[in-house]
Amino acid sequence: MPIYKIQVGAGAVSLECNHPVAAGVEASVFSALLNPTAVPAKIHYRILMQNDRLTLFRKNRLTHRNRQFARIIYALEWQIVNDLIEQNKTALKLHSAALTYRNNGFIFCGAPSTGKTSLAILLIQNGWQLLSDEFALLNADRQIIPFPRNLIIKPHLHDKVTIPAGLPVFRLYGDSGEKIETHYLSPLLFGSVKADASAPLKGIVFLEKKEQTGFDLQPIARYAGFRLLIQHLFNRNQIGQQWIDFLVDWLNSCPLYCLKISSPLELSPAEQQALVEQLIRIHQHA
Amino acid sequence: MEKIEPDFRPTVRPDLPFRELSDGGVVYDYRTDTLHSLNTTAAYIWALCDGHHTIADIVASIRENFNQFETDPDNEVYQIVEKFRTLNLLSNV
Repeated sequence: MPIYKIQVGAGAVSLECNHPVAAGVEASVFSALLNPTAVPAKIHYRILMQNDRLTLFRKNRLTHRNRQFARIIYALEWQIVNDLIEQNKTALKLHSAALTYRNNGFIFCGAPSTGKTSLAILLIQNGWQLLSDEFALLNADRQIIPFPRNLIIKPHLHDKVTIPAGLPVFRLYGDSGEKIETHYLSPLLFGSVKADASAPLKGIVFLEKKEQTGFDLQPIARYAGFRLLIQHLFNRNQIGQQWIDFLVDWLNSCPLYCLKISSPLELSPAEQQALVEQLIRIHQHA
Repeated sequence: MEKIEPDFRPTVRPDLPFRELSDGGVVYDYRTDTLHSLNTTAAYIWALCDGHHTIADIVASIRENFNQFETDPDNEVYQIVEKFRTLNLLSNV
């Protein structure tokens, strides 16, 4: 059976599955992160087909059993994410997308449905490389650790993004707790990802929903940015009181902007171009 | 709460870590998990709330070092120190 390794910063897990399942795994949320290996990692997962059911094992212990592949992948995903975060003990996890342009890393922090994924798609299409969607891992050296899982395409993006036929549907919980149908789309469909090395943090952009079309990109004060940044921080207690110094260091060393935007993929081509150019100019000032 | 007098020497709580930013600062109260963001002026005043400077000293220092006030800086200093006091950031009230 093929074995894949998923390496994120200091963390690694491996995954073993038979051939029909392997095809599905390769199209799953981790497709851009899978590398064939011969040696299992300390945390090793196996997916087996047993009596018409898929079974998921973590370190030889059964964790899930289900007939639906999507359910098994969903269970696998959150376990792997937790493992990788646990293994990157000194990294802070932020609710944000992260991209790099010419090795200048940017994080785009925002509440759900403020346009993180749409903006990531737009920027990838314009030559930026995806480091991660949904959340970013940053360490004390101001390095963004790449974690380019697949993009989670929620219903509001279904008519704006071409979804390949036959892609599995994953039912997740939406912002209001309702069940929504999502697809995991490889960022490689839009451009390139950066999975091999971390990127230095050079800019922080906070996304805010704008009711009218168009966008507005403005610098913001650092003391105000601190309050915003803390709202998007998941695991500050994991590293003790040092987190406050991490944030201060990030804020004192990067430009800070607020991007008010309705939907990046609904901008006119001229507006999209203007937005990309303005974001590149931030990077030039970094 | 008593009115703040010019000879009052505000002292910030020693258990509150202050971190300087290039345009202000932040104070984090671990006990209550509360964050306070300070703009440039408030951060400057925070640094002077050391128990040695009176309100009058702080006003004089602000007048000397800041020329950004359209209004009287006295009022600004009193308001900010009052805010520190209301938020329980001072050890002497």
